[in-house]
Amino acid sequence: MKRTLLALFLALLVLPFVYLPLLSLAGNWRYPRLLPEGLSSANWQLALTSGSGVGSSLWLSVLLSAGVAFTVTIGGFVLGKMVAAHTQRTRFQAIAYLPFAFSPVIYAYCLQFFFLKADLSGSILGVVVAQVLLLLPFGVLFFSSHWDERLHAMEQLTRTLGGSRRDAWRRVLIPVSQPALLTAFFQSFLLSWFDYGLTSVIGLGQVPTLSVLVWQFIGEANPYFAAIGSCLLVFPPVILLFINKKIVFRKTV
Amino acid sequence: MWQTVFSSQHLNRFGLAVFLALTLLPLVAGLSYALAYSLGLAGALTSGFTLTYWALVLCASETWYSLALSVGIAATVVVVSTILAMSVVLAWGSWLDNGMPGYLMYLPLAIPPLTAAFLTFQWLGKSGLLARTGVFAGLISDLEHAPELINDPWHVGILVTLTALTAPFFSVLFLQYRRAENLPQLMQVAQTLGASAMQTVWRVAVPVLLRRALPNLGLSGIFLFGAYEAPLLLGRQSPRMISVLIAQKFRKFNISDVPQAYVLTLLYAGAVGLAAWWIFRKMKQK
Repeated sequence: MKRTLLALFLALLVLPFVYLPLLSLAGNWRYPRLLPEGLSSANWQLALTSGSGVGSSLWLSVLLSAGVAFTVTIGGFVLGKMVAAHTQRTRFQAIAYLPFAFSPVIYAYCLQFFFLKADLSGSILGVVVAQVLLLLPFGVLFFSSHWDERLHAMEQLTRTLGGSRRDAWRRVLIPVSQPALLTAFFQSFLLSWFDYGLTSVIGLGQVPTLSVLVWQFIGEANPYFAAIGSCLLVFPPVILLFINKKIVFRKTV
Repeated sequence: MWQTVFSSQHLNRFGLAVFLALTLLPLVAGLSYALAYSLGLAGALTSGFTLTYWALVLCASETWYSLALSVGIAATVVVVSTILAMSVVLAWGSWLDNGMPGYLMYLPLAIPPLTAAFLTFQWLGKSGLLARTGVFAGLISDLEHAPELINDPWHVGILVTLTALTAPFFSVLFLQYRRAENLPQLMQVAQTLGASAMQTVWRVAVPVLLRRALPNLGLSGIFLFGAYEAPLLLGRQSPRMISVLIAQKFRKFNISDVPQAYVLTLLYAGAVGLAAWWIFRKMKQK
């Protein structure tokens, strides 16, 4: 009984990952049918070859999220070290929580005036800057708990043994921190990849990331294209997860 | 403390200034502009100091309904998700710790809120999979008799979506705490000492997991309070969750709504700041 319930529970977890591809491949799946009338790749071909923008959105999202994740990881790594070492560490961490705790869409409206003045609204650069501002506190929080006494002792030892500050970073701190750097990169990549609210406000609808495109398809009552966009949104993180669960989600808490 | 020594030797003031400039400054600048706008001191409607917009927002029942709805939904989702996640971990913890079930537990974390809302729309809508299954099973005769589960007065669609997103995260959290706190061993000791199965759950497992998870549950509550995509797609026009209300006030063509949107933003910021401060104080005490 317990095992049957567990199997049902696990099936429920997998259901979205079966339903979305099925819907994206469905030629016609209207009421009252429980299953689609037939499956074909026609929707995918249409979405990827017509002017729907799915292909370009995918690449835009990949590059945008990778750029944001890279900046947040490096920035968080360096600034997190300074925060971790400070006597007012707890206060700085509390400060870092504030923007991160804000709803991205409301944060975007708070920033909108300045982005308009700086001529960053409606541009990819503007969305990147806004996402970095939103996610950098996450990076700092992540790394401020990574920079611990052990890491500090390693740095001190390198310096005591004659290594320069650069040697300490290049040969000790970065190699030792590699798993944490990867985790932070993947997590900030996912946060950027999933964002809709901030991107839609700062991008003024002119930066068609995958999430913006999916919203557009839902609004156009086109569930098949919305399912294609959703597949492209959910499967890359699933692949990352299966490549290494521990790297992607190791420090979610 | 090494931090003290380290900071006095290596404190990089420039770095900390950059940190504050990139984290606190945008927020403070945004909220200051919001305050100035809401008081008639900045923006397109500059008319000199006025409290009109504040009075309008504070006297509107819409504001308080929206805040109460957001708090209610966030609290309900946190409580229901905690119960679900705790049940899952206590019932199947040993099976979910390793192997394929362990991997599958992480799957829902790969679903963004927008996709989750879309799935709920497809499944719980009037002609969705649930209604079709009901018709197929003979439970309902036609769509007219299908229950309203999205854009509904009880916000079922929003609650289901947010719970479906939150409960798996809590489950993963509790699984990690279960390992970290050696919970199976603790429960075994309690039972060896004569505790019943129920006592072991209520007096050992639940307090151990809850005490460890409380700050994260609180932070999740803050995130849920500002949820946007699910209520935008699945909610009613009135009352709306606070994020949706603010966004719609900003997006309206009526420019006189913008100062009110800024007032609501400041109210939201005050609520989030207060909640974050309280949670952080609790964390510090621990």
